[in-house]
Amino acid sequence: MTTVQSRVRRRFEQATEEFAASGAFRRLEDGAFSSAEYVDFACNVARAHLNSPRILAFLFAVAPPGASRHLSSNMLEELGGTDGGHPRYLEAMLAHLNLGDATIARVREDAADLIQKFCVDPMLFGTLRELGLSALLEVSSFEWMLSRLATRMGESLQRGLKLDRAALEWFFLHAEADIEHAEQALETIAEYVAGYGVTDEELETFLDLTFRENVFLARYFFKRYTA
Amino acid sequence: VKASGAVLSCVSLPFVEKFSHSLGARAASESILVSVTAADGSTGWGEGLPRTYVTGEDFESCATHARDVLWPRIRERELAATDFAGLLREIGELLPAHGSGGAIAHNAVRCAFELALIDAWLRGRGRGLGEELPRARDEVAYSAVIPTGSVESTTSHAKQYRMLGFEQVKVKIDGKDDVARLQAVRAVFGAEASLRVDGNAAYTVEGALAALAAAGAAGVRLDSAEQMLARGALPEWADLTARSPVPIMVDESLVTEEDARALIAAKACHVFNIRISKCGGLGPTLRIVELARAAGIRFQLGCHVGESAILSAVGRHLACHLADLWFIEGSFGTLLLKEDVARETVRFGHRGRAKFIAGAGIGVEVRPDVVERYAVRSLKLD
Repeated sequence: MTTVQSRVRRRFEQATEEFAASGAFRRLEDGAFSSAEYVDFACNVARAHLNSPRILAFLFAVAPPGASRHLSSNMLEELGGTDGGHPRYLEAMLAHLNLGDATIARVREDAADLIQKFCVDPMLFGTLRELGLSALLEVSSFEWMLSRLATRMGESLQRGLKLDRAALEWFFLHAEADIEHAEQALETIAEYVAGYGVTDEELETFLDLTFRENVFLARYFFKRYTA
Repeated sequence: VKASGAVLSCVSLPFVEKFSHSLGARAASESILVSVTAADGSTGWGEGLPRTYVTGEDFESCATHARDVLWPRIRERELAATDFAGLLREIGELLPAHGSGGAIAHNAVRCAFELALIDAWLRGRGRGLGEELPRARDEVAYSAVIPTGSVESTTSHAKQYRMLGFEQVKVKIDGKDDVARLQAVRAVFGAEASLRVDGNAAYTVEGALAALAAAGAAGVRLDSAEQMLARGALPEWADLTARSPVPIMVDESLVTEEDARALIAAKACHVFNIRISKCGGLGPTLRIVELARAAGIRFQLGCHVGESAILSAVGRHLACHLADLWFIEGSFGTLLLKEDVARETVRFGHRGRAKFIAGAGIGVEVRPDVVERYAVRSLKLD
């Protein structure tokens, strides 16, 4: 394993451990959430990931050719064929939450708003090289975290909302698939770093920027949809 | 414009990461957001940031001053001004901010109401603030601000801002590892970048002079040293200003127009840090700018940590309007806040650059649902 992979892995592990130890995650697992809070959590997960294929497509486009091997297969898997890809599992989950059309529409709008902001907000970085690495680190950190915690989250929702496992397929699918994806993501990051000549110091600064806050807490416990 | 109702919301806007300076650390901004509804149906939004260590205000004093002093004057009062200068004069007479209780001045709450009235007045006429404040430039560059902390965290922050392309940086200092921290920042940014310090009242005269001399001896060139002493004691400020090797800037010492006049008369500084909320709104801020210009005092546009898109937008208008601002701070948006209150992003981009804001009113559409989500209390006025 390269130094790059071990450094990034350490940050992913730290963020994942911090997330799992957080009060919000413990309450989710311990059954301390109200039904509304479980629904809010599920909606926030959907908001965060409904447009994942688009972000992966962006990463595929900006990655140096030598770093796109795993990204292409990951992207194609997320995009799916004509079946709606992975977002269809999130849509299925939303459909089981008894939210009503207006709330589901709000989740979709909020998910679209994330893409809108990504494209419209002034760019903090000078080039796509930096923007791509920043996005790659965040996306990969989610794959890492999901490979460790998605089953626990899915089972918590199952108990909390008394849902069938099939309604929460997105969680269980990611728990199995992302063990491999998480390892591939570390390889991709190392290839990206090598392909674009990112220095050790730059990588450290990118990691500091990405993990200024716990991105999992920020995305998954962000807002209420049930109030 | 005739105001028929208003809501004052005390909000706690959480930060992405904690921000520290010598007077404390905060993980969220306690701000007051005011919406004023005019009889013609237009709504205006304003913002102020009460800070006990700046103006002496807090949520409680803001709510009391709004309820007992400001709102009775605003309610059902027709703002008859037909031009913007007239509007600022009229609001100036309408909204007193002189201190009472523990407050030096009720400037944050006054600012919130003033901006809300301006926003409503402009929207009622289908005009934007950018049309009323003649534009001297289309783009401005903001400074980075590094909080207090260890040499390691200072270096990390410096590298992050450098990666974002900043060329001007302010470092909060508190007497702990000042030289090592400043050397680290200078090493990251290089010899050409503009570097200044903010002591947030952590020093005595001799302590400040020693700190600045030590930085100079270590080869750290500084463009200014802000609020090294506590507010008050103008002879001490004058002494520091006369002896300092670095231009001395006042911040917390400059809250009111009377402060500005007294500082000028006492030759107690080289530079003013004007902040819209601290100074009581757009009208008083522009008047302090005129006092500074007349006295040959340089000035920068500062911000409170945690300003939302409302004050950021007004700050942008002012920054584009005032060509002679030395430095500009603010518009951190979601680089600091977990969520901002407007639909539009006002945050700066790479190199701290940000463009003029067009649009009606102050130029942003506030989302009431976001305001409500972060409100810890609200006061309905009708």
